[in-house]
Amino acid sequence: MTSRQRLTRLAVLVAAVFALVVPTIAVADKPPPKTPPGQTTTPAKPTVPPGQAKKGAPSKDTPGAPQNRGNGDTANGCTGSVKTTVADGSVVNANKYQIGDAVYVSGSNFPTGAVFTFQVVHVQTKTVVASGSFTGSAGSFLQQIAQDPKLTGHEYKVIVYYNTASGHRCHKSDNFFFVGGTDVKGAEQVVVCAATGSEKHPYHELKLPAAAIQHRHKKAGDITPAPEGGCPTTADVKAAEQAKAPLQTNVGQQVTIHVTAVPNTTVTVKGAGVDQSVTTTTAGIATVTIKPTKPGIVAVKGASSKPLAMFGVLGARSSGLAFTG
Amino acid sequence: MLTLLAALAVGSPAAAPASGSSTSAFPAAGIIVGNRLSVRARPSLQAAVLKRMPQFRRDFRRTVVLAVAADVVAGRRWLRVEIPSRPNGRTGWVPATAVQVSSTHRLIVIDRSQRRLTVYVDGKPRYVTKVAVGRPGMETPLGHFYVAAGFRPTESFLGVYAFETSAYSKLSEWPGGGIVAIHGWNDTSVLGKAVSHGCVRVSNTGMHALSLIVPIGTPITIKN
Repeated sequence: MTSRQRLTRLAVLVAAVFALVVPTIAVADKPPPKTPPGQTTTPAKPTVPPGQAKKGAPSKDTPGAPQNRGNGDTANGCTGSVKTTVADGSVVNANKYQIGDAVYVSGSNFPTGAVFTFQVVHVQTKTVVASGSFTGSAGSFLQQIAQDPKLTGHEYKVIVYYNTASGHRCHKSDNFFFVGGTDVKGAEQVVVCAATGSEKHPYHELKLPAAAIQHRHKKAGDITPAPEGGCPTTADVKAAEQAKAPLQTNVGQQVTIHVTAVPNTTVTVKGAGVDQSVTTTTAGIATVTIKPTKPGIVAVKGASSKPLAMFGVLGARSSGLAFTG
Repeated sequence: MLTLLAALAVGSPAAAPASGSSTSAFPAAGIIVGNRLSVRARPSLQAAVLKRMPQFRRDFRRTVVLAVAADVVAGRRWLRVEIPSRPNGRTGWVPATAVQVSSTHRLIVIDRSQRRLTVYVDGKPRYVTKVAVGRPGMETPLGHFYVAAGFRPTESFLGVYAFETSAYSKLSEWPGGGIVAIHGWNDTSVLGKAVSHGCVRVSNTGMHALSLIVPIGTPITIKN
Protein backbone atom coordinates (compact mmCIF):
# COMPACT_ATOMS: atom_id res chain seq x y z
CA MET A 1 0.00 0.00 0.00
CA THR A 2 1.40 3.34 -0.99
CA SER A 3 1.61 6.20 1.44
CA ARG A 4 -1.08 7.99 -0.56
CA GLN A 5 -3.42 4.99 -0.15
CA ARG A 6 -2.62 4.85 3.55
CA LEU A 7 -3.49 8.53 3.92
CA THR A 8 -6.77 8.07 2.05
CA ARG A 9 -7.74 5.09 4.27
CA LEU A 10 -6.88 7.08 7.41
CA ALA A 11 -8.96 10.03 6.24
CA VAL A 12 -11.97 7.77 5.61
CA LEU A 13 -11.56 6.16 9.01
CA VAL A 14 -11.35 9.53 10.81
CA ALA A 15 -14.42 10.77 8.94
CA ALA A 16 -16.37 7.68 9.95
CA VAL A 17 -15.42 7.98 13.60
CA PHE A 18 -16.20 11.69 13.55
CA ALA A 19 -19.62 11.04 12.05
CA LEU A 20 -20.43 8.54 14.82
CA VAL A 21 -19.15 10.46 17.82
CA VAL A 22 -19.68 14.14 17.23
CA PRO A 23 -23.49 14.23 17.11
CA THR A 24 -23.71 12.59 20.54
CA ILE A 25 -21.33 15.07 22.08
CA ALA A 26 -22.87 18.03 20.34
CA VAL A 27 -26.44 17.27 21.34
CA ALA A 28 -26.20 15.85 24.78
CA ASP A 29 -22.90 16.28 26.52
CA LYS A 30 -22.26 19.91 25.79
CA PRO A 31 -24.74 22.35 27.24
CA PRO A 32 -26.16 24.17 24.28
CA PRO A 33 -25.60 27.85 23.80
CA LYS A 34 -28.20 29.75 25.75
CA THR A 35 -31.11 30.27 23.44
CA PRO A 36 -33.42 33.02 24.57
CA PRO A 37 -37.12 32.15 24.57
CA GLY A 38 -38.57 32.85 21.16
CA GLN A 39 -35.51 31.74 19.21
CA THR A 40 -35.34 28.43 17.45
CA THR A 41 -33.25 25.39 18.04
CA THR A 42 -32.93 22.04 16.37
CA PRO A 43 -33.58 19.34 18.92
CA ALA A 44 -32.81 15.76 18.05
CA LYS A 45 -35.63 13.69 16.67
CA PRO A 46 -37.63 11.74 19.27
CA THR A 47 -36.93 8.03 19.07
CA VAL A 48 -40.23 7.00 20.69
CA PRO A 49 -43.61 8.45 19.73
CA PRO A 50 -44.99 11.01 22.20
CA GLY A 51 -46.68 9.57 25.25
CA GLN A 52 -45.75 5.98 24.49
CA ALA A 53 -42.72 5.62 26.70
CA LYS A 54 -43.12 2.81 29.20
CA LYS A 55 -43.31 4.30 32.68
CA GLY A 56 -40.25 3.67 34.76
CA ALA A 57 -38.63 1.67 32.02
CA PRO A 58 -34.90 2.06 31.65
CA SER A 59 -33.83 3.90 28.58
CA LYS A 60 -33.04 1.93 25.48
CA ASP A 61 -31.93 5.04 23.69
CA THR A 62 -28.38 5.88 22.96
CA PRO A 63 -26.91 7.53 26.02
CA GLY A 64 -26.79 11.22 25.43
CA ALA A 65 -29.57 11.24 22.87
CA PRO A 66 -32.87 12.93 23.64
CA GLN A 67 -35.79 10.61 24.14
CA ASN A 68 -39.46 10.60 25.06
CA ARG A 69 -40.74 10.16 28.54
CA GLY A 70 -44.18 9.91 30.03
CA ASN A 71 -45.02 12.06 33.00
CA GLY A 72 -43.75 10.70 36.26
CA ASP A 73 -41.18 8.62 34.46
CA THR A 74 -37.78 8.00 35.83
CA ALA A 75 -34.95 8.01 33.34
CA ASN A 76 -31.85 6.21 34.47
CA GLY A 77 -28.55 6.72 32.81
CA CYS A 78 -28.33 10.50 32.42
CA THR A 79 -29.71 10.16 28.98
CA GLY A 80 -31.41 13.48 28.59
CA SER A 81 -34.98 13.47 27.46
CA VAL A 82 -37.64 14.88 25.26
CA LYS A 83 -41.20 15.11 26.34
CA THR A 84 -43.89 15.95 23.86
CA THR A 85 -47.28 17.09 24.90
CA VAL A 86 -50.20 19.35 24.14
CA ALA A 87 -50.62 22.69 25.79
CA ASP A 88 -53.56 24.67 24.51
CA GLY A 89 -55.81 24.08 27.50
CA SER A 90 -58.48 22.39 25.46
CA VAL A 91 -57.09 18.92 25.06
CA VAL A 92 -56.68 16.90 28.20
CA ASN A 93 -55.08 13.60 27.45
CA ALA A 94 -52.93 11.33 29.49
CA ASN A 95 -49.34 12.52 29.50
CA LYS A 96 -50.26 15.95 28.21
CA TYR A 97 -49.41 19.39 29.46
CA GLN A 98 -52.01 22.09 29.76
CA ILE A 99 -51.42 25.78 29.68
CA GLY A 100 -50.46 26.90 33.14
CA ASP A 101 -49.07 23.51 34.10
CA ALA A 102 -45.54 23.28 35.34
CA VAL A 103 -42.95 21.31 33.47
CA TYR A 104 -40.91 19.83 36.23
CA VAL A 105 -37.67 17.92 35.87
CA SER A 106 -35.40 16.92 38.71
CA GLY A 107 -32.07 15.17 38.70
CA SER A 108 -30.02 13.49 41.38
CA ASN A 109 -26.96 11.36 42.06
CA PHE A 110 -24.81 13.35 39.70
CA PRO A 111 -21.22 14.24 40.47
CA THR A 112 -20.47 17.67 41.82
CA GLY A 113 -19.89 20.05 38.95
CA ALA A 114 -22.58 18.56 36.76
CA VAL A 115 -24.24 21.08 34.48
CA PHE A 116 -27.83 20.67 33.37
CA THR A 117 -29.55 22.78 30.78
CA PHE A 118 -33.24 22.45 30.04
CA GLN A 119 -35.28 23.71 27.16
CA VAL A 120 -39.00 23.69 26.60
CA VAL A 121 -39.42 23.63 22.84
CA HIS A 122 -42.51 24.24 20.76
CA VAL A 123 -42.44 21.20 18.51
CA GLN A 124 -44.03 22.61 15.35
CA THR A 125 -41.87 25.72 15.14
CA LYS A 126 -38.88 24.46 17.11
CA THR A 127 -39.12 27.61 19.18
CA VAL A 128 -37.51 27.55 22.59
CA VAL A 129 -40.20 28.97 24.80
CA ALA A 130 -38.28 28.50 28.02
CA SER A 131 -34.86 27.44 29.17
CA GLY A 132 -32.96 27.08 32.37
CA SER A 133 -30.13 25.27 34.06
CA PHE A 134 -28.70 24.14 37.34
CA THR A 135 -25.36 22.86 38.48
CA GLY A 136 -24.50 20.40 41.19
CA SER A 137 -25.13 16.82 42.21
CA ALA A 138 -28.87 17.37 42.31
CA GLY A 139 -31.31 20.04 41.30
CA SER A 140 -34.49 20.74 39.51
CA PHE A 141 -35.94 22.73 36.69
CA LEU A 142 -39.45 23.92 36.37
CA GLN A 143 -41.25 26.09 33.93
CA GLN A 144 -44.87 27.01 33.62
CA ILE A 145 -46.27 26.52 30.13
CA ALA A 146 -47.82 29.66 28.79
CA GLN A 147 -49.63 29.99 25.51
CA ASP A 148 -47.72 31.99 23.01
CA PRO A 149 -50.35 33.56 20.70
CA LYS A 150 -47.87 33.65 17.83
CA LEU A 151 -47.44 29.88 17.88
CA THR A 152 -49.77 27.43 16.21
CA GLY A 153 -49.86 23.86 17.37
CA HIS A 154 -49.75 22.78 20.93
CA GLU A 155 -46.98 20.28 21.27
CA TYR A 156 -44.09 21.01 23.52
CA LYS A 157 -41.12 18.93 24.47
CA VAL A 158 -38.52 19.18 27.15
CA ILE A 159 -34.90 18.60 26.30
CA VAL A 160 -32.36 17.97 29.00
CA TYR A 161 -28.69 18.57 28.27
CA TYR A 162 -26.12 17.25 30.67
CA ASN A 163 -22.37 17.59 31.02
CA THR A 164 -19.74 17.86 33.68
CA ALA A 165 -16.49 19.71 33.81
CA SER A 166 -14.80 16.48 34.89
CA GLY A 167 -15.91 14.77 31.74
CA HIS A 168 -18.46 12.58 33.47
CA ARG A 169 -21.21 11.62 31.08
CA CYS A 170 -23.61 8.83 31.76
CA HIS A 171 -23.75 6.67 34.80
CA LYS A 172 -26.10 3.89 35.85
CA SER A 173 -27.06 5.61 39.10
CA ASP A 174 -27.77 8.95 37.43
CA ASN A 175 -31.40 9.78 37.53
CA PHE A 176 -33.87 12.18 36.03
CA PHE A 177 -37.46 12.47 37.05
CA PHE A 178 -40.03 14.13 34.86
CA VAL A 179 -43.46 15.36 35.77
CA GLY A 180 -45.84 17.91 34.44
CA GLY A 181 -49.39 18.58 33.48
CA THR A 182 -52.29 16.23 33.94
CA ASP A 183 -50.14 13.22 33.44
CA VAL A 184 -52.50 10.50 34.47
CA LYS A 185 -56.25 10.39 34.00
CA GLY A 186 -57.88 11.57 37.21
CA ALA A 187 -54.56 11.93 38.98
CA GLU A 188 -54.72 14.08 42.06
CA GLN A 189 -52.96 17.42 41.70
CA VAL A 190 -51.20 19.12 44.57
CA VAL A 191 -50.49 22.83 44.60
CA VAL A 192 -47.07 23.63 46.00
CA CYS A 193 -45.51 26.96 46.90
CA ALA A 194 -41.92 26.65 45.73
CA ALA A 195 -39.50 29.06 47.35
CA THR A 196 -37.93 31.18 44.63
CA GLY A 197 -35.41 33.14 46.62
CA SER A 198 -36.85 36.33 45.21
CA GLU A 199 -37.77 39.14 47.55
CA LYS A 200 -40.42 40.49 45.19
CA HIS A 201 -41.89 37.11 44.36
CA PRO A 202 -40.96 34.78 47.23
CA TYR A 203 -43.04 31.79 46.08
CA HIS A 204 -43.94 30.27 42.77
CA GLU A 205 -47.18 28.32 42.67
CA LEU A 206 -46.77 24.86 41.14
CA LYS A 207 -49.43 22.33 40.32
CA LEU A 208 -47.88 18.88 40.49
CA PRO A 209 -49.25 15.37 40.42
CA ALA A 210 -49.41 13.97 43.94
CA ALA A 211 -47.10 11.15 42.88
CA ALA A 212 -44.49 13.68 41.93
CA ILE A 213 -44.32 15.25 45.37
CA GLN A 214 -42.41 12.40 46.93
CA HIS A 215 -39.86 12.41 44.13
CA ARG A 216 -39.33 16.10 44.12
CA HIS A 217 -36.15 17.41 45.69
CA LYS A 218 -37.78 19.56 48.33
CA LYS A 219 -36.04 22.83 48.76
CA ALA A 220 -36.01 24.32 52.24
CA GLY A 221 -38.75 26.88 52.42
CA ASP A 222 -41.18 25.16 50.07
CA ILE A 223 -44.74 24.96 51.34
CA THR A 224 -46.49 21.71 50.49
CA PRO A 225 -49.39 21.88 50.00
CA ALA A 226 -50.00 25.55 49.33
CA PRO A 227 -52.14 27.40 51.89
CA GLU A 228 -55.84 27.81 51.04
CA GLY A 229 -55.39 31.52 50.45
CA GLY A 230 -52.58 30.94 47.96
CA CYS A 231 -48.85 31.26 48.26
CA PRO A 232 -47.53 33.93 50.62
CA THR A 233 -46.67 37.27 49.09
CA THR A 234 -43.77 39.51 50.04
CA ALA A 235 -46.07 41.38 52.41
CA ASP A 236 -47.09 38.10 54.03
CA VAL A 237 -43.49 37.05 54.43
CA LYS A 238 -42.51 40.41 55.87
CA ALA A 239 -45.37 40.27 58.33
CA ALA A 240 -44.29 36.79 59.41
CA GLU A 241 -40.65 37.72 59.86
CA GLN A 242 -39.32 36.73 63.24
CA ALA A 243 -36.14 36.26 65.17
CA LYS A 244 -35.40 33.93 68.02
CA ALA A 245 -33.10 35.84 70.29
CA PRO A 246 -32.48 35.97 74.03
CA LEU A 247 -34.35 38.53 76.11
CA GLN A 248 -31.05 39.62 77.57
CA THR A 249 -27.48 38.50 77.77
CA ASN A 250 -24.17 39.54 79.25
CA VAL A 251 -21.06 41.13 77.79
CA GLY A 252 -18.75 38.49 76.33
CA GLN A 253 -21.44 35.86 76.21
CA GLN A 254 -21.92 34.20 72.82
CA VAL A 255 -25.45 34.33 71.51
CA THR A 256 -26.97 32.67 68.47
CA ILE A 257 -29.91 34.35 66.77
CA HIS A 258 -32.19 32.45 64.42
CA VAL A 259 -34.03 34.56 61.87
CA THR A 260 -36.89 33.72 59.54
CA ALA A 261 -37.34 36.52 57.04
CA VAL A 262 -37.76 37.40 53.39
CA PRO A 263 -35.53 35.13 51.25
CA ASN A 264 -32.19 36.53 50.14
CA THR A 265 -32.55 39.60 52.27
CA THR A 266 -29.91 41.14 54.48
CA VAL A 267 -30.36 40.67 58.19
CA THR A 268 -28.43 43.11 60.36
CA VAL A 269 -27.52 42.71 64.00
CA LYS A 270 -26.29 45.92 65.58
CA GLY A 271 -25.58 47.30 69.03
CA ALA A 272 -23.50 46.55 72.14
CA GLY A 273 -20.31 46.49 70.07
CA VAL A 274 -21.83 44.19 67.46
CA ASP A 275 -22.25 45.10 63.79
CA GLN A 276 -22.91 42.01 61.72
CA SER A 277 -25.01 41.20 58.70
CA VAL A 278 -25.93 38.00 56.91
CA THR A 279 -28.12 37.14 53.96
CA THR A 280 -31.03 34.80 54.40
CA THR A 281 -31.18 31.63 52.35
CA THR A 282 -33.65 31.08 49.56
CA ALA A 283 -35.82 29.58 52.27
CA GLY A 284 -35.59 32.85 54.20
CA ILE A 285 -33.52 31.47 57.05
CA ALA A 286 -30.43 32.97 58.65
CA THR A 287 -28.42 32.22 61.74
CA VAL A 288 -26.15 34.80 63.33
CA THR A 289 -23.78 34.21 66.22
CA ILE A 290 -22.60 37.27 68.09
CA LYS A 291 -20.46 38.09 71.10
CA PRO A 292 -21.30 41.55 72.47
CA THR A 293 -18.29 43.49 73.68
CA LYS A 294 -20.01 46.17 75.75
CA PRO A 295 -23.34 46.81 77.49
CA GLY A 296 -26.13 48.11 75.28
CA ILE A 297 -29.12 47.11 73.22
CA VAL A 298 -28.85 44.78 70.24
CA ALA A 299 -31.37 45.20 67.42
CA VAL A 300 -32.04 42.50 64.82
CA LYS A 301 -33.51 43.80 61.56
CA GLY A 302 -34.74 42.04 58.44
CA ALA A 303 -36.63 43.39 55.44
CA SER A 304 -39.16 45.17 57.63
CA SER A 305 -38.27 48.54 59.06
CA LYS A 306 -39.41 47.35 62.47
CA PRO A 307 -36.79 45.39 64.43
CA LEU A 308 -37.46 41.68 64.55
CA ALA A 309 -35.94 41.45 67.99
CA MET A 310 -34.20 43.65 70.53
CA PHE A 311 -32.41 42.59 73.64
CA GLY A 312 -30.23 44.10 76.31
CA VAL A 313 -26.61 43.27 76.94
CA LEU A 314 -25.77 43.66 80.61
CA GLY A 315 -22.44 44.43 82.21
CA ALA A 316 -20.69 41.69 84.09
CA ARG A 317 -22.24 42.80 87.39
CA SER A 318 -24.80 45.38 88.40
CA SER A 319 -24.82 47.97 91.11
CA GLY A 320 -27.43 48.00 93.84
CA LEU A 321 -26.54 51.50 95.04
CA ALA A 322 -30.10 52.69 94.41
CA PHE A 323 -31.28 50.41 97.21
CA THR A 324 -31.79 51.67 100.72
CA GLY A 325 -30.20 48.48 102.03
CA MET B 1 -43.87 33.83 80.52
CA LEU B 2 -42.63 32.58 83.86
CA THR B 3 -39.84 30.83 82.06
CA LEU B 4 -39.26 33.96 80.07
CA LEU B 5 -39.02 36.11 83.17
CA ALA B 6 -36.98 33.52 84.98
CA ALA B 7 -34.57 33.79 82.09
CA LEU B 8 -34.36 37.49 82.72
CA ALA B 9 -33.38 36.75 86.31
CA VAL B 10 -30.41 34.65 85.42
CA GLY B 11 -29.62 36.14 82.03
CA SER B 12 -29.96 32.92 80.09
CA PRO B 13 -31.42 32.90 76.59
CA ALA B 14 -35.14 32.65 76.04
CA ALA B 15 -37.29 33.12 73.01
CA ALA B 16 -38.64 36.59 72.43
CA PRO B 17 -42.39 36.80 72.90
CA ALA B 18 -44.93 37.67 70.27
CA SER B 19 -46.64 40.99 70.67
CA GLY B 20 -49.96 41.43 72.36
CA SER B 21 -51.42 39.82 75.44
CA SER B 22 -54.61 37.90 76.02
CA THR B 23 -54.16 36.45 79.50
CA SER B 24 -57.26 36.40 81.68
CA ALA B 25 -55.79 35.35 85.03
CA PHE B 26 -54.20 37.97 87.25
CA PRO B 27 -51.77 39.03 88.44
CA ALA B 28 -49.86 38.64 85.22
CA ALA B 29 -46.30 39.74 84.62
CA GLY B 30 -44.43 40.49 81.44
CA ILE B 31 -42.60 42.96 79.27
CA ILE B 32 -43.29 46.02 77.14
CA VAL B 33 -43.75 45.39 73.40
CA GLY B 34 -43.09 48.84 71.91
CA ASN B 35 -40.37 51.37 72.61
CA ARG B 36 -42.32 53.12 75.34
CA LEU B 37 -45.41 52.38 77.40
CA SER B 38 -47.76 55.16 78.44
CA VAL B 39 -49.63 54.31 81.63
CA ARG B 40 -52.90 56.23 81.75
CA ALA B 41 -55.25 57.27 84.52
CA ARG B 42 -58.23 55.62 82.85
CA PRO B 43 -58.64 52.97 80.16
CA SER B 44 -58.73 55.53 77.35
CA LEU B 45 -56.20 56.90 74.89
CA GLN B 46 -57.41 60.37 75.82
CA ALA B 47 -56.77 59.88 79.54
CA ALA B 48 -53.88 61.56 81.30
CA VAL B 49 -50.54 59.80 81.20
CA LEU B 50 -49.42 58.94 84.72
CA LYS B 51 -46.08 57.49 83.76
CA ARG B 52 -44.08 56.57 80.69
CA MET B 53 -42.10 53.38 80.98
CA PRO B 54 -39.32 52.54 78.50
CA GLN B 55 -38.95 49.11 76.94
CA PHE B 56 -35.38 49.00 78.24
CA ARG B 57 -34.06 50.41 81.48
CA ARG B 58 -30.86 52.41 81.76
CA ASP B 59 -28.99 49.24 82.67
CA PHE B 60 -30.32 47.66 79.42
CA ARG B 61 -32.62 45.28 81.27
CA ARG B 62 -36.19 44.88 80.10
CA THR B 63 -38.72 46.91 82.03
CA VAL B 64 -41.09 44.47 83.69
CA VAL B 65 -44.77 45.22 84.23
CA LEU B 66 -47.31 43.59 86.51
CA ALA B 67 -50.96 43.61 85.41
CA VAL B 68 -53.53 43.14 88.15
CA ALA B 69 -56.84 43.47 86.27
CA ALA B 70 -58.39 43.89 82.82
CA ASP B 71 -61.27 45.77 81.27
CA VAL B 72 -62.72 46.17 77.80
CA VAL B 73 -63.62 49.72 76.80
CA ALA B 74 -65.02 50.55 73.36
CA GLY B 75 -63.85 47.24 72.00
CA ARG B 76 -60.29 47.71 73.21
CA ARG B 77 -58.85 45.54 75.94
CA TRP B 78 -56.99 47.37 78.70
CA LEU B 79 -54.85 46.11 81.53
CA ARG B 80 -54.46 47.74 84.91
CA VAL B 81 -50.78 47.72 85.83
CA GLU B 82 -48.84 48.65 88.93
CA ILE B 83 -46.73 51.77 88.58
CA PRO B 84 -43.24 51.32 90.02
CA SER B 85 -42.68 54.82 91.38
CA ARG B 86 -43.56 57.05 94.32
CA PRO B 87 -46.04 57.09 95.87
CA ASN B 88 -46.27 53.34 96.38
CA GLY B 89 -49.47 51.58 95.35
CA ARG B 90 -50.40 53.58 92.25
CA THR B 91 -51.88 51.80 89.28
CA GLY B 92 -52.76 52.86 85.74
CA TRP B 93 -54.10 51.51 82.46
CA VAL B 94 -52.33 50.32 79.33
CA PRO B 95 -53.65 48.78 76.08
CA ALA B 96 -53.34 45.00 76.30
CA THR B 97 -51.55 44.98 72.94
CA ALA B 98 -48.76 47.15 74.35
CA VAL B 99 -47.48 44.48 76.70
CA GLN B 100 -46.85 40.76 76.64
CA VAL B 101 -47.86 39.28 79.97
CA SER B 102 -48.90 35.94 81.35
CA SER B 103 -50.26 34.75 84.65
CA THR B 104 -47.92 34.42 87.59
CA HIS B 105 -47.96 31.29 89.70
CA ARG B 106 -45.72 32.42 92.52
CA LEU B 107 -46.11 34.99 95.24
CA ILE B 108 -43.76 36.40 97.84
CA VAL B 109 -45.43 37.34 101.12
CA ILE B 110 -43.36 39.26 103.64
CA ASP B 111 -44.79 39.42 107.12
CA ARG B 112 -43.19 42.54 108.49
CA SER B 113 -44.09 41.89 112.12
CA GLN B 114 -43.08 38.23 111.98
CA ARG B 115 -39.89 39.07 110.01
CA ARG B 116 -40.71 36.21 107.70
CA LEU B 117 -40.64 35.77 103.95
CA THR B 118 -42.76 33.02 102.36
CA VAL B 119 -42.77 31.96 98.70
CA TYR B 120 -46.09 30.55 97.55
CA VAL B 121 -46.32 28.36 94.46
CA ASP B 122 -49.86 28.03 93.13
CA GLY B 123 -51.18 29.14 96.50
CA LYS B 124 -49.14 26.73 98.58
CA PRO B 125 -46.24 27.82 100.80
CA ARG B 126 -43.07 26.30 99.38
CA TYR B 127 -40.24 28.23 100.97
CA VAL B 128 -39.96 30.19 104.22
CA THR B 129 -37.00 32.17 105.52
CA LYS B 130 -36.33 34.61 108.30
CA VAL B 131 -35.60 38.20 107.26
CA ALA B 132 -34.63 41.60 108.63
CA VAL B 133 -36.87 44.57 107.82
CA GLY B 134 -36.79 48.38 108.08
CA ARG B 135 -36.06 49.92 111.46
CA PRO B 136 -38.55 52.32 113.12
CA GLY B 137 -38.86 55.47 111.05
CA MET B 138 -37.60 53.61 107.98
CA GLU B 139 -40.17 50.84 107.95
CA THR B 140 -40.39 48.53 104.98
CA PRO B 141 -43.49 49.78 103.10
CA LEU B 142 -46.71 47.77 103.21
CA GLY B 143 -48.69 46.94 100.06
CA HIS B 144 -48.57 45.07 96.79
CA PHE B 145 -45.42 45.21 94.70
CA TYR B 146 -43.41 42.96 92.37
CA VAL B 147 -39.91 41.82 91.55
CA ALA B 148 -38.59 44.23 88.91
CA ALA B 149 -35.07 42.85 88.40
CA GLY B 150 -32.62 40.38 89.82
CA PHE B 151 -28.83 40.39 89.78
CA ARG B 152 -25.58 39.67 91.55
CA PRO B 153 -24.62 43.04 93.00
CA THR B 154 -21.17 44.58 92.82
CA GLU B 155 -21.49 45.74 96.45
CA SER B 156 -20.55 42.94 98.82
CA PHE B 157 -22.80 44.25 101.61
CA LEU B 158 -25.82 43.32 99.46
CA GLY B 159 -24.82 39.66 99.66
CA VAL B 160 -24.81 37.07 96.93
CA TYR B 161 -27.93 38.17 95.10
CA ALA B 162 -30.49 40.97 95.08
CA PHE B 163 -34.03 41.48 93.85
CA GLU B 164 -35.02 45.01 92.95
CA THR B 165 -38.68 45.52 93.82
CA SER B 166 -41.23 48.06 92.63
CA ALA B 167 -41.53 49.42 96.18
CA TYR B 168 -39.97 52.65 97.42
CA SER B 169 -38.77 53.24 100.96
CA LYS B 170 -39.54 56.22 103.16
CA LEU B 171 -36.07 57.54 102.40
CA SER B 172 -36.97 59.59 99.35
CA GLU B 173 -33.64 61.47 99.41
CA TRP B 174 -31.68 58.26 99.07
CA PRO B 175 -29.40 58.24 96.00
CA GLY B 176 -31.23 56.46 93.24
CA GLY B 177 -34.62 57.11 94.81
CA GLY B 178 -34.57 54.65 97.69
CA ILE B 179 -35.74 51.50 96.03
CA VAL B 180 -36.62 48.64 98.34
CA ALA B 181 -34.66 45.48 97.61
CA ILE B 182 -34.74 41.95 98.84
CA HIS B 183 -31.09 41.12 99.13
CA GLY B 184 -28.59 38.86 100.79
CA TRP B 185 -26.72 39.77 103.95
CA ASN B 186 -23.44 38.39 105.22
CA ASP B 187 -24.20 38.77 108.95
CA THR B 188 -27.03 36.42 109.89
CA SER B 189 -27.34 37.96 113.36
CA VAL B 190 -29.57 40.71 111.93
CA LEU B 191 -32.24 38.26 110.78
CA GLY B 192 -35.51 38.56 112.68
CA LYS B 193 -34.80 42.18 113.54
CA ALA B 194 -35.96 45.58 112.29
CA VAL B 195 -32.58 47.05 111.44
CA SER B 196 -32.51 47.98 107.73
CA HIS B 197 -33.21 51.24 105.91
CA GLY B 198 -36.32 49.66 104.41
CA CYS B 199 -34.86 46.77 102.42
CA VAL B 200 -35.56 43.17 103.24
CA ARG B 201 -32.39 41.38 104.25
CA VAL B 202 -32.14 37.64 103.77
CA SER B 203 -29.32 35.22 104.60
CA ASN B 204 -27.05 34.54 101.64
CA THR B 205 -28.19 30.94 101.68
CA GLY B 206 -31.81 32.02 101.59
CA MET B 207 -31.10 34.56 98.87
CA HIS B 208 -29.40 31.98 96.72
CA ALA B 209 -32.50 29.79 97.04
CA LEU B 210 -34.79 32.69 96.18
CA SER B 211 -32.73 33.49 93.08
CA LEU B 212 -33.49 30.02 91.81
CA ILE B 213 -37.20 29.84 92.53
CA VAL B 214 -38.46 33.40 92.12
CA PRO B 215 -38.90 34.66 88.54
CA ILE B 216 -38.75 38.32 87.67
CA GLY B 217 -42.27 39.76 87.77
CA THR B 218 -43.33 37.72 90.81
CA PRO B 219 -45.86 39.69 92.90
CA ILE B 220 -44.88 40.70 96.43
CA THR B 221 -47.26 41.37 99.29
CA ILE B 222 -45.81 43.10 102.34
CA LYS B 223 -48.13 42.95 105.32
CA ASN B 224 -48.04 43.50 109.03
